[in-house]
Amino acid sequence: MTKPSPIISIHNLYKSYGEKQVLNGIQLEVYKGQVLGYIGPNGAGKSTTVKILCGLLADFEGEVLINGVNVQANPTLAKKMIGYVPELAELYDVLSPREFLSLMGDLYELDPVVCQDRMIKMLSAFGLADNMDQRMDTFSKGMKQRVLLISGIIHNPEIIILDEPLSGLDANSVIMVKELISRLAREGKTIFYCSHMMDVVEKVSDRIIVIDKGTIVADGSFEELKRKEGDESLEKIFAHLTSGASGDKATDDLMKAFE
Amino acid sequence: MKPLNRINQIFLGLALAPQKFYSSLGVSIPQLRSILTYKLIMDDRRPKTIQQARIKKNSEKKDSQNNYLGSLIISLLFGFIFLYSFSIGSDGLTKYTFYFSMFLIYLSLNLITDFTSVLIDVRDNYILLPKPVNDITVLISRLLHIFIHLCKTILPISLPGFFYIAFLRSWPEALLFFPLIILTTLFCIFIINSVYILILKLTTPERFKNIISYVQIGFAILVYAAYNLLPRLMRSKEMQDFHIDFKPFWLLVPSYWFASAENQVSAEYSANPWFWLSAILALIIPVLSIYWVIKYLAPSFNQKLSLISGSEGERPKMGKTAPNLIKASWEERISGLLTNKNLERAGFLFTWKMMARSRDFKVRVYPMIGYVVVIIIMTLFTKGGFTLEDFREPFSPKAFQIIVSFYISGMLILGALRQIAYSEKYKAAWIFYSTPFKVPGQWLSGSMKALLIQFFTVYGLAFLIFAYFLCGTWIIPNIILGLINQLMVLYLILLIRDKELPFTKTLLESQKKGQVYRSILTTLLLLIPAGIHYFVFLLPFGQLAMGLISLGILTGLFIQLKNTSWEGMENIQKDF
Repeated sequence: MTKPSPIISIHNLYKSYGEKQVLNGIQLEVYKGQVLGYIGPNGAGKSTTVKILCGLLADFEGEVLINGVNVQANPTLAKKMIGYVPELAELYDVLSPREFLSLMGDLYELDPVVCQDRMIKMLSAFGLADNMDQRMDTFSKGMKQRVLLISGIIHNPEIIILDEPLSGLDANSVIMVKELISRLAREGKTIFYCSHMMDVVEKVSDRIIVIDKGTIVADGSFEELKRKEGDESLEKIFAHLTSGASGDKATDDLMKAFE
Repeated sequence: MKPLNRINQIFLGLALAPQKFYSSLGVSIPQLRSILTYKLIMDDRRPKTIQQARIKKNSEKKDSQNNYLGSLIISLLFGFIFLYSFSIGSDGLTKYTFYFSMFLIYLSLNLITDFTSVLIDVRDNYILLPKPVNDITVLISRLLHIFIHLCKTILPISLPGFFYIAFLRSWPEALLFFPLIILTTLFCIFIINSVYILILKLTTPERFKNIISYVQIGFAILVYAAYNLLPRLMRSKEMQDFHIDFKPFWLLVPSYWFASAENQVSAEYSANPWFWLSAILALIIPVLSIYWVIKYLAPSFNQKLSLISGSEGERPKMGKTAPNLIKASWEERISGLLTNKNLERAGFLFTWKMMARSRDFKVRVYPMIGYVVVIIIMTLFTKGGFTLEDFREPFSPKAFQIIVSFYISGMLILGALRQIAYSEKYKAAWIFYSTPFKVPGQWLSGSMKALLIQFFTVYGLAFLIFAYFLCGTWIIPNIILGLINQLMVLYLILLIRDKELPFTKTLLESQKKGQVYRSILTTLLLLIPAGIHYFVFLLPFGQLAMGLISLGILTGLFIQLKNTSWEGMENIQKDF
């Protein structure tokens, strides 16, 4: 049996902002249908990796292929296959969800009729049917986040890149999004899930990548990581792997401040 | 160390002088001092509306003293503008009525536009109210804050008036002047407090901000028009001979009270009891109204404010009723007529809606409509004597001024074009970079069409009708030629500038160096075809020939714009 070709492949990815080296030779291959949890401390290079994958940052060293398409050489074709939900994203919130999503549909060159139909179904599923024509400037964070989620999947992409997609969502919506992620994966979509919330990553991902200081320090399923690092929770494993001081020491120091 | 500047220190000391009195009310002095100190620091770091256009880049980190000096100079300038009122009318009462009206209107508008964000700072609800600070401390800190702000504005603004009265009128009037200014100010506080209460009763805070931005727009136009047109109006004989005859309804006009108070100490005083009554009102009403503010309005205002409680207005309820079908809005119908491909249509709709709805865009661009109208009025009506007959005669140079002023109105589109790339929501532009968006030229073309339709159709038609009635039929082909020429220049400018997607750049970038020269240059470009037009404005065949040539160039430019690729766009590293 031959190994299928990866849908995302990253070779020797280096990126620096001036003096600061952010990515230090990332090597990664992701296969169709995988749910990849991409975790790391602040400043580890998570968001930079995501921005490169989405074609937002073009000046990097190395090679990034999306389904065989080079992101640097042909960003438009690569972007077509990706749905991106950025972290704490800004919206043009003077538009209504219907207007914003129609705009997104046009940018993805989606047939307007198909787009309308999908958006109505999706908005209704997220409980926003009544709010379709209201301006988003009055929306709560959770409502905006739902619209963003829809904007990332409305064109039915092969790869879905989610950057902290659960921020601002209430408990029920979190359950729904988690369910949605596994459903999409079963349909053969590839999910690239970037997050700080270990408990969610632990549950939804079938492969976990830990990065620190621009390099991958662990790669494997949760079970594999547990075998390697001792039978612990993902949070503990994470603290071991990344340079962050153990939580105990930090809390000790904090408590000492009162003395 | 608190970086409070000298001027603020002086005013703060002054405001806190009656400490005993505040303590007796139950105010905690250290808390009061601290709140006021930090409020004043925040004021200095906040750019003023009037300066925003010019000094924004400085206000970021520059010394706060400079910021204050800037507003000091502007206030002084307004003080001088107010002196125009002394050339209106034939008697002191009329002159003073105009002076106090200007003062009252300026001060109220200034407070509403520059100080609203401070007065209705919902952050107070999170930051001050959960802390152990009592209500009276919060209330007094708010009132003292307004007081300090007003002192800083009023003093420079009333100085020119004071010296004018002292040297050119009489000393008793000058001595009464400052007390009257303070009374006017108190009355002004009453006015804006009432306005706020009223607006908050009628609408939500989010809408309230919209209303404020329209007031800002109106204010900017008013100031600009007054600055340019008042001196010209003053020269007319009618204005100099005008005077107010007493009628009882004048007692309803606040500035008339203050004017009659001044009048009663001047050489023109009158024994008529009506005038004495009016003068007494000037003393009593402001005191009563400020008492009412402290006693009733301010507390209920605070209460209302804490009810808003930072919820930023009401959140719409989420709901699941069956989705309605799409009905095409009228901008969608226009877009169907004017644009072809999907992307051009989307660009049209996006720009159309963003222009119509973004508060920050409107505040930056709408005042220009006023400016352009003022400029046109100036070019048409100021140069000495003329009669309407001059315009009917196509051979007179007057008639060509109509055409020139039509070209000048292209400045409006230029101004809007210059602002359209910038937005408070520039971060939302990630969508243009994460989607497979191929030919940005399509998008630019759609958005240019939206801009032209929104800003030019109504205005252009109005101008056409106005010119037709003023000049007759001969003007119509000239206006059409002018329109084609303007479009040609506007598309040319769009092509030679850095091409940027609309609503994608931060406002700070609009302050880059060299923008001023560039805008002067582009404005001059508009006038070149106007110069050529001069030679053909009486020759129908010349007009036809020039029109065809321009139309040809326009079509070429139009096609080129539409085909602009990403390589042709301004290359900027985006920070999302």
